[in-house]
This record gives sequence, C-alpha cells and structure tokens, in this order.
Amino acid sequence: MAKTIMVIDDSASIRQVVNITLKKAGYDVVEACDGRDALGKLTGQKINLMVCDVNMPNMDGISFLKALKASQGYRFTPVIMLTTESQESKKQEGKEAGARAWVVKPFKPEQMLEAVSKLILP
Amino acid sequence: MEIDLSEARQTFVTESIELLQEMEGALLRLEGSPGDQETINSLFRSAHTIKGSSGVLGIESVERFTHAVENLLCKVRENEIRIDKKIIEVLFECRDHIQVLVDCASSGAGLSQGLLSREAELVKRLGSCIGGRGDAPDKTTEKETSGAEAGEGRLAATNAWHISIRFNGDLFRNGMDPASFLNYLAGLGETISITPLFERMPAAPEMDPEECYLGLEVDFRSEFDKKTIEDVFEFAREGSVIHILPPHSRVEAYMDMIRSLPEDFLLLGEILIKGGALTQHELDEALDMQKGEDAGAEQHKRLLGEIMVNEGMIYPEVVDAALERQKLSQASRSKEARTMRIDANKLDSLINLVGELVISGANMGQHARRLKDGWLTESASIMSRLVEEIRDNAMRMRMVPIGETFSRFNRVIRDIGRDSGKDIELKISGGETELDKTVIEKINDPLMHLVRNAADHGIEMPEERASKGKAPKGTVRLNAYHDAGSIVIEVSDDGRGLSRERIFKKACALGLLSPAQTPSDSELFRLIFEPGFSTAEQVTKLSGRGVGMDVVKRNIEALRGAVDVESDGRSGTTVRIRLPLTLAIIDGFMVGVGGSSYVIPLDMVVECVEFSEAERRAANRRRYMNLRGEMLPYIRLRDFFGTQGQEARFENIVVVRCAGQKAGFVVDDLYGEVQTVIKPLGRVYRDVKGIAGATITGNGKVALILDAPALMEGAGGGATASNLN
Amino acid sequence: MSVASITESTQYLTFKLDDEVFALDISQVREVLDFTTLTKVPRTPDFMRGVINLRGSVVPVVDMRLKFGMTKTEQTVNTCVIIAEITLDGEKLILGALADSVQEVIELDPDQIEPGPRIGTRLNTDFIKGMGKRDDEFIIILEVNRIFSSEELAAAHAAKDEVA
Repeated sequence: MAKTIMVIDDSASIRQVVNITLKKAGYDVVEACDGRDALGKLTGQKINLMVCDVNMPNMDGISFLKALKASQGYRFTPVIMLTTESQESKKQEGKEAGARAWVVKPFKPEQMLEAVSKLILP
Repeated sequence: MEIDLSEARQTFVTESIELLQEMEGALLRLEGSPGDQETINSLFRSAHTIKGSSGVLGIESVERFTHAVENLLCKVRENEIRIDKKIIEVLFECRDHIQVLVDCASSGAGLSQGLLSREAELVKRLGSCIGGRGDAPDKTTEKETSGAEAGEGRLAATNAWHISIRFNGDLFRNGMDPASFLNYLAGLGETISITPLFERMPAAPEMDPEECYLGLEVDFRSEFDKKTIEDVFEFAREGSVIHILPPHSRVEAYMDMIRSLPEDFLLLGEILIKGGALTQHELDEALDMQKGEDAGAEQHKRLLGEIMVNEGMIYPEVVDAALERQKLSQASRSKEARTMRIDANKLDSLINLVGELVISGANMGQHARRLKDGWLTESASIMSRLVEEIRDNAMRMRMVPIGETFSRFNRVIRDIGRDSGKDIELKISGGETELDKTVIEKINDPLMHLVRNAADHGIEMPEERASKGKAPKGTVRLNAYHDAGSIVIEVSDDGRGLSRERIFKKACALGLLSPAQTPSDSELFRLIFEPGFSTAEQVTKLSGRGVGMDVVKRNIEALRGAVDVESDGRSGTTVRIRLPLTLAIIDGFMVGVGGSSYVIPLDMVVECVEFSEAERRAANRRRYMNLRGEMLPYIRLRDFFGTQGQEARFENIVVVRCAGQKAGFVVDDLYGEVQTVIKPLGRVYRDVKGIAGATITGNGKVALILDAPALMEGAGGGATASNLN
Repeated sequence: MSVASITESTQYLTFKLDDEVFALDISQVREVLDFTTLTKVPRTPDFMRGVINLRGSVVPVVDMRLKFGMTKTEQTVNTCVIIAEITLDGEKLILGALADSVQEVIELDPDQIEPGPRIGTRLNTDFIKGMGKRDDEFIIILEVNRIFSSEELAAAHAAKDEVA
C-alpha cells in the first residue's frame, strides 16, 4: 500500500509542487493549509510522514509540531520542516519541538524527495 | 525524474493575486492603525508566502524582489522599524510592482528596461527605509496623546483607578465594616482621595442606625489588575453597587491587549474579560440587566456594550476596540469556512445540465398529464421539484458576496485622494450581499467608472467643502442590498451633486432638449447616460477618459439591469444600479404573437389589460392609450416584428415597467408565468433588435425572450410626453 | 484558386436542393436531423428560417434554397436539417441548413473536381468551392464558411433594417 504524506503549507502552489513531486514518486498525498487545518484532518487516518511549513496563519508550524508531539496517535510521525534561509532561529525551535529534518525553501523537487525517502520507512 | 510544474505555476499566479489583494487590504488597514501587530504579521506572511512559492517554482524575478520587501517587513514585524506613512507608501508601490512581476511571469513576458529601473528605484527606497531608521522607535508619544484624548474630563489627569461604591444597606447587619475594605485596599496601592457620600441618609427621625447609608468615591493608584481590586470588595458585593474604572493609561493598554488577542474569542464580554477591561462579575451583571430588559419591548433592548458603558463599567473606546476585534475574528472565521475551489467552467456546465434537466422534467410532466396517469404525474412532479431544488442549489454555488469587489475600491479612492489633494473616505456596506459571479465580473468596470466619477467630479476640494459648511473629508459610499429578486448597488457621494444648469445647457447643445422645455430633475439627470454627455469642465487623469456614462448604462443593460441617478444638486449624487441576481435563469411571463411564443422578464411586468376594440380602432392614428387616466405608450409586437398570418380576434396589452418608465406591449395571447433558462442566440442574431435571447419551453420548442428596454425605446421613441398632446 | 485548396481525396455529404445535387465537406457536418419546428426570429431575413432546439442549445437554421435564389423550402418527409460547424471571424459556430433531401456520403479525389463555373449558375460563384463530377452528374461543392461569412450576415441585417 502506498505511503501517505501530509503536506501542510499555506501556499497552495507549494503544496501543489510537493504534491506533484510526491505523487510522481508513488506516495499518496493529503494537503492541509495550516496547522489547525492539519490537526482537523488527523482523524485516525494513517499518515506516514508530514511536510510542514513554519510560517502559517492560524497555527504556525512550531505550534503544530508541539501539538502533534502531545497527541496520542501521531507523536512518532516524522515531520520535515520547510524553512527559509532567513529563519535560522526557527530551525532551532523546530528541532526542539521535534522536527526530524529540514528542507530549505527554495528547494528543488529532487531535494524534497531525497529528504522524504530518508525518513519514510520502507 | 521529470516533474511538470506548469500546473503549480498556474496555482501560484492565482494564489499570488489573492495574497496581493490581502496585502493591499492590510496596507489600507495599517494606514488607519499603523501599530496593529496582527495586520503587520499578515502583511509579512503574504510577502513571505509569495517569496517562498516563487522560489520553489523558480520564478526568480518575483522571488528576488519580494525578498527585498520581506526584509523590510521582517524588521517592521520585529519592531526594529516603526511603520509610518512613507513606508506604507513604498510598500503600496512595491505591492503593485510584485503584481506586475507576477503578471509578467504568468504571460511569460520578459522584464522591460523600464521595469528593471523601477525595481532598482524601489529596492533603493526599501533600503533607505531600513537603513535610515536603525534606532528603536519611540513608542510612547502617540499612545499618551490618544490616552489623554480618551479622558473626556471624566477623571482628571490623575493616573489612578476610580472606585465608586454604594454599600448595601444591610452591610452593618451582616457584620461588616466599610473601613476594613479601605484598609485592605490601601495594602494594594496608594489611596489618593476618599470622598464619603451621604445623599441616601434620611432625616434623623427616619434614620435606622443599623442601616448603612454610606457611599464612597475613591481615587486609588495601583499596579494590580481590575480583578484583584474588585476582589477586595468580594464580601460586600452582594446588594452593593461597585464600579471600578481603570486609570486612563490602562485604557490604551486594554485596547492593545484586546487587539492582540488570538482570534478564537467571539463574544464581546469574553473579549473584554480577556483584555482585562472587564471582570466576570461585571459581565454577569450587565448580562442580567440586558436579560431583564428583554422582558420589555424587544426593540428597546440595549446592546451589551451600551449597558456596560452606561453603567460606568468601562470606557466606550474600549468597547469599540473589542467590537472591532470581534468583527475581525468573525471575518477570519468566516474565511476559514470549509471551502473548495471549483473551476468556474465545471460549475457552469453543471448549471447548464441542470437547466436542461428542468426542461426535460417539465416535458415529462406534460406527457404524464397527457397520459392521465396519476402515479406517473405524481412522480414527475416530485422529480421536477427535486430537480428545481438542485438547480437552485447549483445556482447558489455561483453566488459570491460583492464585498471583495467593493473593497478593491479602497485603493482607488485612496489614490484619487492622494493625487487630487482631496480627503476622501470610502464607506462600504452590504458587502455580504451575494450575486452571480459572472455578474460580479461584469459589473466591475461600470462600478470603477462610477466610483472614480464620484471621487473625481463629485467630491470637492477640502477648502471648497469647508466653505459650504461641509466636513472637509468627503465620503464615497458603496452599498448593496437585495430587493425583490434583484440586487441593487448604490454608488453615492456627499459631493457637489449634479448641476441642473450645466446638464440642461449640454442637453440643449446636443439637441436632446429644446431650451423651452422644463424637464423634471429625474428626467434631466437621466440624460447624463446619453452618448456624448460629459459635463466635466476639466478632464482629469482618472476619469473623463472618453468613456462616458453611456457606456456604463450600456454595460449594465447588457446585464439586463437598469441604472438611475438621483441628486439634489447640492449635497451629493447617488447612482443606483439594479441587476438581476443571475444571468442564467429568469422568471418570465410567456405571451403569444401570431403562433410564436415570447417571454417577458416577469419582474418587469406590471399588469395585463385587454386591448379594447376602441383602442384597436384608434391604433392607426396614435401609439399610446389611456390607462386609467395615464398616458401609456405602447408597441404592437405583431407590427414591430412584422408577424405574418391572421390577426387575433382579441388582443391583450402587457404593461411593462423598466427604469421607471412604463410602456405596453400588445400581444395576442397570455400564457402565464414560466421559469426560463436563458440561452444565448449566438452571434448570428447579435444585431436583432428587441430580442434578448432564447429559451426552451416545456414542449421542447424555442421561445424568444423579449428585450424589454430596447422595445420600450421603440415604444417611447416616437411618443415622448411632449408630442403626445 | 478554388481547386488549389482541394489536394487530397475528401469525403462529402451530398444533398439535394430542388433537383440539383450539392455537397459539403463531411468534416464540417456534425449530424443530420429530421425537420423539426422552427421558431422564427423576427426582423431577420427570410432565408434565416429561425432557430431550433438541438439538445438544449439554440441553433440557427438557414434556408439554402432561398439563399441560392430558389423558392422557399417546403416541408416533406425527406426534408432534413444538416447541422454544420462553420468558422465565422475565427469563432466556431453551429448552424443548421435545410435540405430537400440528404443523399449519401461520397469520396472524391482532387482530379474529380473542377473549378466552379464563373457564370451559368444561379449561385453566387463565391459560394462554390468546386464542381465534382461523378457518373456524369455534377455536384456543386459548397464553401460554407463563405456562404455565412460575417459580410453575408451583416448584409442581410442591413437589408432588413432598411425595410424596418
């Protein structure tokens, strides 16, 4: 069965880029537009990995990570943070909150795939 | 691996347009309240997202420039730079430049030299905004000014709490001592003054020594919050009246606090408590009062905020801030409503199909009735009803609020104000009014023209306004509401109004009127929609570009709408546009002429009367009839359409009203109301006069929809009021 | 010039107006319908016979007999509406054409087609793409796009406006 990856980003075009990239590599993709939306969509479905932006309205990536780590079902789900080079401090915050990897925007689809394939269990 | 991102690029363009729209909104809000952190955050986020997405998609031109903008916004967000008018102006221009860059990326056009130098200039200005203001901002000045303004003399400039207590008469009987409260209070801060009040004290014979008549007004300085101070009187609260007004410096703090609340709090009271301006106890009390009033007449029910202000619990400006906060969170909540994007074409094709389904349902119903099969008729009618419901729902999907279109004009008004030196405010109401998306798209240009006209020609310069005794700030108002199956959009201003004289002169010059005529205001003002009519003495950069009101009128009529203007010639002009809610379906009234069926839009039909024998005989001589003493110009469709065949023995006249004028259409038969899915007739019949479209009737035939306004021109053209007599 | 545009074997739908055989390039024909009720649009030229309901779309129908100077098409059991797709000012347009009867689909090689006659037909020669010849029978191959060019339609409207 295909692995499912959740993409959380407030930018529809970035979600789409990640979505297209991951689908092409054979993953199933679920999209959420911010942390709150993502939490709402985590209702028992199996998510193998998450790709999450940092700066989002309603609930930012760090708060989402914290909420995720406090949850029952998803606290071991690996999360890749999407950051920009200007957010060094956020990177640290994200690391403390439990992010497993970073992909720095702007990224190439191949970089995204590489990060995903390293983290997702076969 | 080859990954095709062209689809994502398309998404990027749509997304950027939305984000740029948000940026514009945020900038406009910042002009009003430059310190609003949430707005700054949202501005930053928009720029940040555009930068991030363009980077991922490899649209370097956008990424590079937006990065520069983001840099400045980042500093603003971190409070390293204080936002001011100059920065807002630069940001406005940067926003526009990003839009140009996105457009270029979307069309694949390269950047011209002009654009590049424009970019260099903007980047330089961005740099100077960052560089020239390294120092931490002086935050205090502005706040203190507004704090002092808030005072209104209710409390002197003492920066103190004011506590007003009327003790419960049973205080002593309950074993309590007023002095103990004051002692306790003294432990929380510094008591400045205590004024005892005895106005409740009766004359000595009636006085009950066990009764407490005391009231106190206390000025008190403390760093503690309202709740703590209120708690001092915890035991005396029952039966006592206690008001605690915060020091003025706190008002601003409350307002700040309220503005920075997360967006989840929706009730006014909750917002105020969260902000620290109100205690739970006070809220309960106010709510009780409100409930008590409920019992009385509903219309006298006061608003919660009003009660709290009147009871001296809180300052009005704090309530205002809270209400604004509430509005914001409602807005953002409604935005979060579960939505999904649907390609408009898919929706159109769905609506088309359902329209067909309605027709074939009606068809089936007819057959069922012909077969006289009760069960079949019943099922057919149930199905028809369901299908109609589906259609209505499908139509509703295409309905969008007009607010977004309205708010785009904020920028227009602002720019006109800046360029012309006028002080103009745009007030929007009825933004939640919904109408068909296709109508909204088509109404934009006419609205733009009207808004520009209002701001440019309507609103006077501040000095001129002042000399007329008007407020120097002019107002342009956009309003929308539903009215009897149509939507009405009003563009009004409180400017100089239409000049009777000038319009009259121009109308005579154009040969529309003779100098001897004395038209009424509305007749005269309506002439501004005639071609070639532009009385502006001075053609400015913004309006008067040769596109006149006649184009506005034509565009609106193409949407089956009508436009009217009202002005008292002194204090403003209102242009009222009436539009159908949707372009796809109308309620129609079906008539027959010589064996063909025609549909008249039902909302235009006033009544149907018999075309009497006497009128018929007079028909050759004149083209108007006497309808209960009123002159009614009419048009005989049989003649107008050159219909062949036997004349009907009896004819009827359908009285139609459009744009405030009445006319009659003479027809053979009246068939009654029909719901009509409008089909375009296509370009082959583009120039046919009097026909607006076609529709398919229940029996599968095509019926033509009459273009009532055009026909009325035919009816009225030869028979204006003046040559009737 | 007319012939130069026909370079490979093409299929044609043939039909009769009066006793003459006409043909249309099959790629322009969508379908053929039985004659159905027409709704006349007032104040339009006579040859524009009206509109029909084609599965929910409103499609104009022209009377080619009138257009070509013959008498009006009368309805018989054989009368058909040929639904054709034409290009008008770069836009695709669906149009119905009345025919007394539809014959068959034939294939003609370019060498079976001659240029249209300059004179000797009732038709405006501009409307003729070429003359096909088969079994000693002449087939007039029509240039539909030109018959319903915007000039033709505009001329029709102008003529009507003078009357009105």
